[in-house]
Amino acid sequence: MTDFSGQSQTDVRFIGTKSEIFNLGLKTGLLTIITLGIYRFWAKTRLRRHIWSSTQVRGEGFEYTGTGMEKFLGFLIAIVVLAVYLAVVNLILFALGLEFVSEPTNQAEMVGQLILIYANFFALLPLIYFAQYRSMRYKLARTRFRGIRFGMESAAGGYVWRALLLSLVTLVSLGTLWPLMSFRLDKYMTDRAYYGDGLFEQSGKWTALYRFMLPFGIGIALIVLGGVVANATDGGGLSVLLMIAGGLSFYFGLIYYQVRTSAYLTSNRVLDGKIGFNSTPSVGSIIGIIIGGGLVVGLAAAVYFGLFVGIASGVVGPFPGPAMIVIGVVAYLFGLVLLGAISLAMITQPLLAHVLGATQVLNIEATDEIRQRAADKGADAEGFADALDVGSAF
Amino acid sequence: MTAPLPQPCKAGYFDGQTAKRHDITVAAIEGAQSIRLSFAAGWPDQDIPLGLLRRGGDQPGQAGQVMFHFLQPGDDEIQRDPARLMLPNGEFARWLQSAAPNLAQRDVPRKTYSRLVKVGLFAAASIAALLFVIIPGMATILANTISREREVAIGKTVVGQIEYLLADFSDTDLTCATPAGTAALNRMMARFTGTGKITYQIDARVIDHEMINAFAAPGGQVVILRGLLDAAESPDEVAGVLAHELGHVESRDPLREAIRSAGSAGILSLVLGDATGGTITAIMAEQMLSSAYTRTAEEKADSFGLDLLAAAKISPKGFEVFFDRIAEMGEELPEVFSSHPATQSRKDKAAAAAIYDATAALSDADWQALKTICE
Repeated sequence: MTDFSGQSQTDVRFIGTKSEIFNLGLKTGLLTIITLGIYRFWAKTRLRRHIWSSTQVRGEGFEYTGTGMEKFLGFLIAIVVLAVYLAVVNLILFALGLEFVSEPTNQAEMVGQLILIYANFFALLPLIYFAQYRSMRYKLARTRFRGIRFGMESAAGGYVWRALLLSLVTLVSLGTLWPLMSFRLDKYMTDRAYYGDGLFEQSGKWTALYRFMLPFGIGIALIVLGGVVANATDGGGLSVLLMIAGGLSFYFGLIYYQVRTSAYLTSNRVLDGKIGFNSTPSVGSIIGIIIGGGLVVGLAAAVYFGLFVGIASGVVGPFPGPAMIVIGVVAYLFGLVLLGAISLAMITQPLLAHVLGATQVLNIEATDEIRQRAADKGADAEGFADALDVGSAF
Repeated sequence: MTAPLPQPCKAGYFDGQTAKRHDITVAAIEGAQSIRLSFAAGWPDQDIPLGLLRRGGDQPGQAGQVMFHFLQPGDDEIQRDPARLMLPNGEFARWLQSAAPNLAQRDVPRKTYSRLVKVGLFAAASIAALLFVIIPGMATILANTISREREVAIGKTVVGQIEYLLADFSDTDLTCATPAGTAALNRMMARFTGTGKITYQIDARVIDHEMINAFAAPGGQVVILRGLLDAAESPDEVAGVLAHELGHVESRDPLREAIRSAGSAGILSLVLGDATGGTITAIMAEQMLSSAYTRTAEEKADSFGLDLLAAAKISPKGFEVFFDRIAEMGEELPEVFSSHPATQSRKDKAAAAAIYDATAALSDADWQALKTICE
């Protein structure tokens, strides 16, 4: 492992403001409604452009060079492939005697329903992993810093079978090997990523992630204990208390695991053998942002939709005409766009500012020696990720 | 140009070959509509026409410097110079904002629009081929391989879904049953099954809904909506409709339709961007309700229905009268009438019906019992 002691430390900064990201979210959201959803590819592109260029190191921003058009074209291609695939899968399942039942009325139908849902999900799982890798590769290929491209090797196939295998291992081990999956999949991507001609490398150990599972594990233990107590004492206050404490510990433990894992992996990343990173986000601040921002968004939703329903029932009455239905749908969609913009401003922006602000680049001077790499061709952009709604935020 | 030329200013430059920042001086050139980049050591000056300057989009207002790039004149596919100019947020950048004409222009690589048209047509054609050719074709093949027991099970599910839909997505049991009404319905069915032309075990029922409609679900399930009974003025009219639906049952049209809609619903939800599957069942049921089979299937069911009426000695005139009345009401025609106006063969058969001695499909008492089955 490279030793960075005595090397320079440069802070990463996120300089985008709440009002900028709110305005951008609102504007592109409205355009998305007006264009019946087609603008969403351009909306995502513009949001990324803003976030990338607001992420600065030594006063120089990142640059996102993807276009809405290539995303739209990629989506069109991906949807055809998916349609053929899903049609074949579902026709086969139907022939095997499985179809969607609106209200399962007996045990056999329930089981059939579950098998069908899982069969559909597992049939899609390889495509979901494929989409994850392709989406990351596309994002890197369209990211520049100081005019130099990032990139990732075209190796989605290897990612898919590793991810499937590791998912199975995690499932069979009842989640106890989850750190292995987190680490290996991240390492697979990192070890194939480039900045110009500089290769990234993921060092560190997967077993180091176990300590981040502690609060999460305590949550599960408390829930199990609550169940045991409930069985022994016929319910009662103690078991409920244990369950609630366990649930909270489980949920926040999940956030804790993700934040600390991501920070550990970042801190153990090396670029070109010379450039290092350091990431020390505060889990407390992140949970605070999620709760605080979530409250603001929830409050805004309650006020908006409360007024919406109030006005609708007062003015329109229980039997609206066609014109009123159109107005209602538009008002509803506008509400969604507004809430999306508020959550960008109140959750996404502070999260980015906090996490990126807690990141340093070590020995950035060595980037001066990095040279340009050839452009990567990605025909489908990230069409599969869009069609499958993988990584939907940005 | 109205604005006075700005003072030359220090700027950053990335040449697109290495990540090293070059410190340069940028100056506006009097009257030349271009700016000159002067490098420190040994590099020649570079003049960039103002029209080729582009500003990076959606940059944050707080940034200390603004990024620009240059349109690459020529045939390059990307049409974009990899070099980047970083101008401090100051007088020079502000001047450029008003002086450079195409800063915000988004240059699209050549042939993008023809590619968009090609890909769009390809996608639309593929989806259409899938929905209208491949899935119906595969549905036909699958329908032939499914056993009768399976078909009956599928039919029960479909009827359940439709009932769920008609009850406005609740579990209310809408099936109508009075002892006399059910007996009357069974007696009408017995006249059809007595002909020996029906190979399925028929399960007929009335559902309490005001829509004028009747449909066949897979495996011999036949559903009449109460609205149809209300609109009918004689038992022969209802019998005509049922005979037509039994035609669909015998040729397995509902099964094919159910398989087809199961296949298409997933694709539609994918295209419309809803992956939850919640709407899938609704779409399936909706399609079944408003289902129009192919023209050939309708003609076949019609022809079968007429043969069946003849064998059961029920007059086909009721069907004609019923059709005319509903058409006059100006409502949307239910599927059962969708193959009208009548074909020549239907007229011939209807005329031939005069040959046999038709009797009313139900006695007056039974007819009254059937009409009031939902009360």
